[in-house]
Amino acid sequence: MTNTLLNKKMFSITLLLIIFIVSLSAHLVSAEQSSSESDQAQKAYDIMAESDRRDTGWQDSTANMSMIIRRADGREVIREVTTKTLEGENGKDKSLLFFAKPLDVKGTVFLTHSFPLEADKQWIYLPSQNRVKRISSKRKTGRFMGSEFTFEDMAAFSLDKNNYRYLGETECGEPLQACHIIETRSKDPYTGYEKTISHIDKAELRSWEIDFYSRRTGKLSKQLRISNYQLYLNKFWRPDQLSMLNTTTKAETILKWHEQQFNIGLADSEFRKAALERRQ
Amino acid sequence: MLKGFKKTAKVNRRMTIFTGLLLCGFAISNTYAAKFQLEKRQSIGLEFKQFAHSSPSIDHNQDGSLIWQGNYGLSWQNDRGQLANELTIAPIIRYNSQDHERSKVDFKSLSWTKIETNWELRTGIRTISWRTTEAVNLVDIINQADASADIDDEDKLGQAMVNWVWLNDHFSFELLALPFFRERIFPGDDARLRGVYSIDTDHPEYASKAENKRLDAAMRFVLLLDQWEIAISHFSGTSREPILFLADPQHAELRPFYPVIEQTGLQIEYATDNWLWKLEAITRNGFTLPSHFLSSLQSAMPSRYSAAVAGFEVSLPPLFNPDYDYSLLTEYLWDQRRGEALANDLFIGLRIGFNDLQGSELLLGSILDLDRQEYLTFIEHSYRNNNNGKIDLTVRLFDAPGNASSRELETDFFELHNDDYIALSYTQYF
Repeated sequence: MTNTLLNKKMFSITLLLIIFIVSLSAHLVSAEQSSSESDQAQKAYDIMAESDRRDTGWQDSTANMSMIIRRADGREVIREVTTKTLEGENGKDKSLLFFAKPLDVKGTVFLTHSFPLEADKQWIYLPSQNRVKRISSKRKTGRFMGSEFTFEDMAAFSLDKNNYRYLGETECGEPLQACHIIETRSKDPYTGYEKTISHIDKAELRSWEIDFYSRRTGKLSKQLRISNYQLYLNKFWRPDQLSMLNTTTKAETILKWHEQQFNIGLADSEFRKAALERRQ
Repeated sequence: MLKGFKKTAKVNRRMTIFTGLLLCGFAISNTYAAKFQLEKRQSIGLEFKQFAHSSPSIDHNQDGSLIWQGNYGLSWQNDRGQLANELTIAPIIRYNSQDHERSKVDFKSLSWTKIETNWELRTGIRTISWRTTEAVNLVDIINQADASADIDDEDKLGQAMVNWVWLNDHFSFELLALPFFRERIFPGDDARLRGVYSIDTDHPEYASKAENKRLDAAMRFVLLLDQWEIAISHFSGTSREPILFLADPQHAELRPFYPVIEQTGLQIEYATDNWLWKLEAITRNGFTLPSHFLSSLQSAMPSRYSAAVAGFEVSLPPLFNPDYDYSLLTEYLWDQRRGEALANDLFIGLRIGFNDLQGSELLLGSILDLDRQEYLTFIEHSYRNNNNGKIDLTVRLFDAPGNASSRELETDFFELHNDDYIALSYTQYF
């Protein structure tokens, strides 16, 4: 009788002990896991922050961009724009897009004031209506000029608008070299992506490949290949070509940069909304 | 046909001389050459209108227009490499098969702008848009409307001006001196889309003793504050909108009277997430007909009245196709003068951007008069047929209670209830 009681007591103590040990070790394991998780996040963040830091100090830039929008059935159209960008402190960049082709939208100007955390401010000048219109800037997922790029893809990079995770190493680039694999998840509730996965070379921290995963389906939806990097002002690496493939529809948009110039001395006053209103 | 051309040509000649003098003065003071940049846009368009019903007074159901437009800009920089001067010439020539009033030669712009970091001087003939809302634009008063081109008042005539603007990143303040008033262009007697009465535009009446030579003035202050944009404006001068009065009850003919008014305007725009909230409001003093022009058909008008339009534009989540952009537009139109058109109306519109290679867009909209159960419905569809051409399709349907002969001066769309039309246009850009 006492024996069985003792046994029972022993049993419950053992059980408690086991539960305690299991839960403790589980806790320790999870602590270890989460610490490695946060290490990976910190590592990825540091890489992106360094990449961002290396891309500061160019002051301003102008460039011509052409966009070849190609559908799977072979139909294609070409869009041409001229861009002017003014580098601001802490990601407060300002940019102007002047549409040149197609000719019916020639004269249209798109002005963006980017902010590191809050929503960007955007205006469009429409020559046909001779009017400057504010655009609601949460329209992230809309296609940019009917291309495979969305407004979100075209927006200025802002380090703290995303969370990062280090996924491992691979080879990428031209020529093939050691690369980081980094996962980016946007904090923006209006993002069109579940996540993006970038291959960034270790030497110069340039992105060569980005895979986009749709927020709607969670699956791979687009692949961006970045190529023809050029060094400007002995300091800044910029690609001349970006091609975005829609993996579902097989439609493709090729974006080519020409005549990229930096540190020209553009005036801040050119990037005011009122400067658009001057237009006739 | 040439009558319209001659009349506008006369006005244009005076304005051209005015601008020419200014440009000469400018050329003398800026003889050095810097980095020049030339920009041009040109288009030629063909428009065909088919009316659904025949009109009791006008014998044609079709109408064709040929429109040529150019926009040439020359800009150059100062010694510091910043944009300093801009010259713009934007002529428009329109020929209409049925209506000489609709045929015109005009300049939307013929101007020189001197640009400094914190101020600008814009001189010459220009077109200025003070627009926030979509259905109507109450505050926008600088340029005269060409009511012969379309019923939506969006087609403006160039206005001579000296416009000085003081601006920085957060606000702008501008003063405008506006010489050479221009009369509103109405559809001619032979034209569709006009009222029951013909309008005698050859004998306009003015409140000002200087008639159309009065120097008008305006000012505007715009504040950009975070997601807000607030603009306060004031206009003092000859009203761009005339009061149409029956000069002689024996003749079914209206004459335009242009009063001198004081108009203060307020525009507010607020952006948040997917929403754009918009407001335009005015209070106007002096928009009245002198007693000697009053007839039994027209009662005395209040010396001051206010009007407003407010609403929103919201981008909707993709409904049927994730590639399409949908926006919903809703605005309420109010006018203190309850008998007026658009005094208690609701505008609802849906805009769809298809994001295809042709850049197709569709706008469906309706303006409903809540007092009189009338409506105007429109469909506007446009797409590119290649990189240089664009096709526009417009349908307008007017619905007004029929047989309202005693009310024909007061209903919004009754005068146009026979004028449902479909318009197809092709524009080639080069």
